[in-house]
Amino acid sequence: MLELRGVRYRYPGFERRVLDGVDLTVGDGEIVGLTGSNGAGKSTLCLVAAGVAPGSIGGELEGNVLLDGRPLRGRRPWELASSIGLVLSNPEAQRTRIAATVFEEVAFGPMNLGLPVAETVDRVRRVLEALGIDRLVERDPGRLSGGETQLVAIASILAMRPRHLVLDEPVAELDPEGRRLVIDALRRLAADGTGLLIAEHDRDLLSELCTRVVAIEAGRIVPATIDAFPQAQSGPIRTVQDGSIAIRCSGLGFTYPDGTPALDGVDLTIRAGETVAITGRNGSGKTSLVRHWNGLLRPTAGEVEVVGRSTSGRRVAALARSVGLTFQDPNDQLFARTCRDEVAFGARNVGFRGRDLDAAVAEGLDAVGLADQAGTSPFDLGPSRRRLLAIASVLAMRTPIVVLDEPTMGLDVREHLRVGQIVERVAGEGRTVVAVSHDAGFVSTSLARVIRLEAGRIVADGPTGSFAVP
Amino acid sequence: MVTALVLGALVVPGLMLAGVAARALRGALLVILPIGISVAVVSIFGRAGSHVLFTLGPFDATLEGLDFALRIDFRLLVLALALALFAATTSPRSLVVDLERRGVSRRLAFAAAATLDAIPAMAERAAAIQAAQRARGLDTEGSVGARLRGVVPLVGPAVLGTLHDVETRSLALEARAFDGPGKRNLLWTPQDSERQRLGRWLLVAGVVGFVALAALGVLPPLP
Repeated sequence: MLELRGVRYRYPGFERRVLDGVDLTVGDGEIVGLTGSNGAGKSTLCLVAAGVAPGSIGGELEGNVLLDGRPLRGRRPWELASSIGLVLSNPEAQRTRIAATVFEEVAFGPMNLGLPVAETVDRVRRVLEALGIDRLVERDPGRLSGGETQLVAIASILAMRPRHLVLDEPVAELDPEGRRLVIDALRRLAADGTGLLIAEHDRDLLSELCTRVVAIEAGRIVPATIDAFPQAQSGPIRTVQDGSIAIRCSGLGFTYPDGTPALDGVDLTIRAGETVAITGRNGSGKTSLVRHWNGLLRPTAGEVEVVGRSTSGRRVAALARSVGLTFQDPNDQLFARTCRDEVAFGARNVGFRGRDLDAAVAEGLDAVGLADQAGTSPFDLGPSRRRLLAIASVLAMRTPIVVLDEPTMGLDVREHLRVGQIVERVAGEGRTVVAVSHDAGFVSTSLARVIRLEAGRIVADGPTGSFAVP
Repeated sequence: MVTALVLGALVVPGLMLAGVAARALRGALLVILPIGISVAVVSIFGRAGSHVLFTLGPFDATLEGLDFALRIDFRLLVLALALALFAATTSPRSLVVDLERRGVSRRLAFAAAATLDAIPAMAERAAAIQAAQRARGLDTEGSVGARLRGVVPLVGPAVLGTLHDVETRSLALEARAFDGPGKRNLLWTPQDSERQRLGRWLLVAGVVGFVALAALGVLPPLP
């Protein structure tokens, strides 16, 4: 049993307590969901519950965290590793970077526990099969999609078979199939007596998986019921039949330099003012497809046209005037000293100056609710606000085509709703919005057309609701 | 200079044999360029000498200063090339496993691997940030000027981002018991051929011989 009693915690160098009197128990075999708005303390609670804070990162802890009746305080991280596992919300940063294959990556933890080789191999094989990623066994962990990396991060912890497990947004980057496999694996663990604490925004996951849900507000645990969470909804979805052509792909194919195939004969037309979702399994080629539209990737076969002109021979900087693209990981996209500078960067590059630039920046920040953070460093924002800032930085460029790669990942309900409103507003101005997304709720309430990719090919294309969003 | 020449004569064939000469030279030049230029300026104009090449305001550029600068910069280049050769031919994975099976602590082995991986990690991060900047209209294609404009805004975020990743990664590794006591049962061992072992012993013998010749006065004294 994992118990937190009167836990207060502050990070080193900070006055404010992020946790301010947390009482929480996770019994053996219980699956407790932890929800709450971003910044309320969910991730910090995960770190404290797993003994990482203050154990590894320092800070000041008051109260007690008990694991099977024994305090975590004073126990070294490796002592806890076989008792309590922690899956962080950033799977890429959890990679060891020394493993040549997925198999070695997942085997890292069991090897560290000193297990015999045969048992390590057995555990790794079982967990890879359970999560449906045994096909990745020989792949380089550094060359996986975001979702595949997340599954590998989860597998890496599950292979250590801890008796207690803490997961911070474990399915944020997963397609529905990956999600289903993770849910099934976690259920089996709980059935075997493992206690699980899962920090998550996803209402469906919480209602489907958890035996109990609590919320955190201002560093304290408060009761929560799943039904009480507000639903993200936007207005009626705009549909477009006959606008001018914004994007056309003809026989588009792409293979990465290491030989990994990504796209295979994609034929696609998207019209101005359309709102389109690109969906599909992790690794199906979604991100590769949209990166062709602004020239970050160049076709190895076929052709791409943007606003009536081929992208061939045109610089990325020139294509950026037509296509604004946010990245899946906002950490890859932010580099300026302040949020204002960050949002101004793209707008300035596409030609805004003086008052027009100020207006574009103010509009972008206001759209994502960060107007009061204009002078803040992007690196001082939480992950969800960084994602919103990345969206603002593209909105301020006022491009005719806006492409958002997983725009709702990790957002709370309020932020989720805001992204829906942004899509509605941008499309209302006659601009095209394309979102790469696994978020079925967002797709069904905010986007009119869904395109589904499988192994680099379009396998379905139609109005939202005409087929299941994978 | 002789020392550096002899070492260079060992490193350059190694780079060519490994097929990484161009990449290593590019990397080594990038690393030593700032310090190399500083050394050259300070030495040429700051070092006293009887042969004045030209005068710039109150400063005399001396032949002795130029000679000193060339020697130092050449040594730096050889050092950087040797490190580049090591980084280009040694995978962090092999380094960790090999150090570990030779009894080095896991923590130390990982620190060595992280050092080896630092430049590629920073390069990956820089490439991601540069892609984001290009996607927002920064023109880094074409002229040298355009390429240089893209480098300046990269440095801070690339370094900070990499440090942040290292912090998160160390938490994740600790959560996977990487610094636990006891011996790990390794799944594989790096290939170590007879020729590699012979090469290593020759290098050790070369170092010993080199120091001995320098001590005996056959070669110039070591710096």
